[in-house]
Amino acid sequence: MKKLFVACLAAVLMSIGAGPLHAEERKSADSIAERVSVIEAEREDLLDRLNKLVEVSGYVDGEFVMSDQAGKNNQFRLHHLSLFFKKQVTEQWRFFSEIEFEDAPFLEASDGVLDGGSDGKLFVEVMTIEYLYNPRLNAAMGRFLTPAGIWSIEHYPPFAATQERPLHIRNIFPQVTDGLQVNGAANLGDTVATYYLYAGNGEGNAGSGDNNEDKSMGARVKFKLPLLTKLELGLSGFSDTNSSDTEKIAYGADISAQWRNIRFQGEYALGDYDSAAGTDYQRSGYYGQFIYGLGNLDLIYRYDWYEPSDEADDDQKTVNTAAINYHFTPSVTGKVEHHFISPEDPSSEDYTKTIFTIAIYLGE
Amino acid sequence: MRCANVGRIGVFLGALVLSAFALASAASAESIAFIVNAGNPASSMSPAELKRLYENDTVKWPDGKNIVLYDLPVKNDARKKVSTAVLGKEAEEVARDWANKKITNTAKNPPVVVSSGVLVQSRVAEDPGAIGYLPKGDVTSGKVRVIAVID
Repeated sequence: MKKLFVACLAAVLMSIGAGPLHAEERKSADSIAERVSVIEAEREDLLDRLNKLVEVSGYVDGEFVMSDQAGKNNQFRLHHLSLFFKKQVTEQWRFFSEIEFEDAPFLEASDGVLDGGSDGKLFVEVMTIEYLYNPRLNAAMGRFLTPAGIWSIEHYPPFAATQERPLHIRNIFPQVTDGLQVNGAANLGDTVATYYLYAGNGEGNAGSGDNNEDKSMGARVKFKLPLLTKLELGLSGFSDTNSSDTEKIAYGADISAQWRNIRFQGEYALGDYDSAAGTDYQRSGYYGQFIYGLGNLDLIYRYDWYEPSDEADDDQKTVNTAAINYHFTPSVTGKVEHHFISPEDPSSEDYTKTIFTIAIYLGE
Repeated sequence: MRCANVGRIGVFLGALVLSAFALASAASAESIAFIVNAGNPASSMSPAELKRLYENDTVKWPDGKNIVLYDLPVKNDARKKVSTAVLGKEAEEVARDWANKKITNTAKNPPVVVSSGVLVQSRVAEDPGAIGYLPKGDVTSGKVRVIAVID
């Protein structure tokens, strides 16, 4: 009984003595919890604000170009300053745009008249409003890079092997299309199939409209196979009638492969031209490009062939290219490329062109 | 006496070099764990499935939830290991590939790069759709589950 009394008395005394201490600790813990909760809420609010901002990125490159072609001087070239604007308006709606300033445009006007000294190019290369329904089906309206082949889309200097594009690029499939595109991707087992379908105003039209009633139409399908480090095969098609009533149907095939540090990229394109005047011809071109990666260094070789018209004599051209890219960082690349250009025309001499470039990606 | 001192310095430098080498080897030898939120029904993922996530090919979980990818900085040892083991490429090349996808507006689900495995774990613990990776020994939260290990 005595022991029980002492134990109870000790418990009471301990609780009395500990009471104020527990209350202080509790008060401090509650205060800390409240502050943490406020900090978390502020973080969520900040992230939400950041996500609502327009995302600005871009790229810039500068070159020094040397050529032994007649009439060409060695020169510095302020080739590209391109700005990209992207906004994820909602989870489904997205805006994307590329504004390109090529060759540091200089425009000066007075009294509403451009002075003769204007130079360079200012170009809205891409401007799309997209609706992202699901991975298998999305839509884009506006101006977009024509989904044909590889280089048509993947040509940006910080990541493309060379500043000079293969000869047939933009000469068979158009560079851009103003119109409507649907696209999507689906997993077929371990293979990923991606498709693009589009219709537009056709080539040679300004952004304000279409010169004729005929609309261009095109499609591309690409298969990413679970082989090697990467293997993608693509097919492209395009049809259009221009304002001179020349019908064009273009076909293309492409491959992009990688095994460890060896990459290969190749494209073939054929355009079938049927003019109202009865002059029919075909235009074709292809290239094959190898890249051997050594850490941050890429060693590149490309063979390129182009024939503007199979009805013309001696208009074919081949280019052999050797290049080195050094990636200072994932966003900064230095390039040296040397092109041996060989026109088939016997009256045109072979010539060379060497380009030294620094290209920087301005995005994240 | 001078020769003895030179000898001691040589031994010290040699030990230092060997230690650094051992440390680097240990860092690269550490297993990397891919983690998802504990509420995610996914129990395991193969390297091929992980590759599809981190190469822009799969953007939703089987239940339709959006996948939120977390990545570590390019210079991080865990990132380097994941890049070569899962994607078959150096981390810098993978970073360039993602930048190229962003610049061509074809990046469907680019990874969010955070500075450390601590942040990867805390973000994945909060988000049912998230997946990330960090050294296996650094997985301490009961709110995440390991679904793949890269040795």
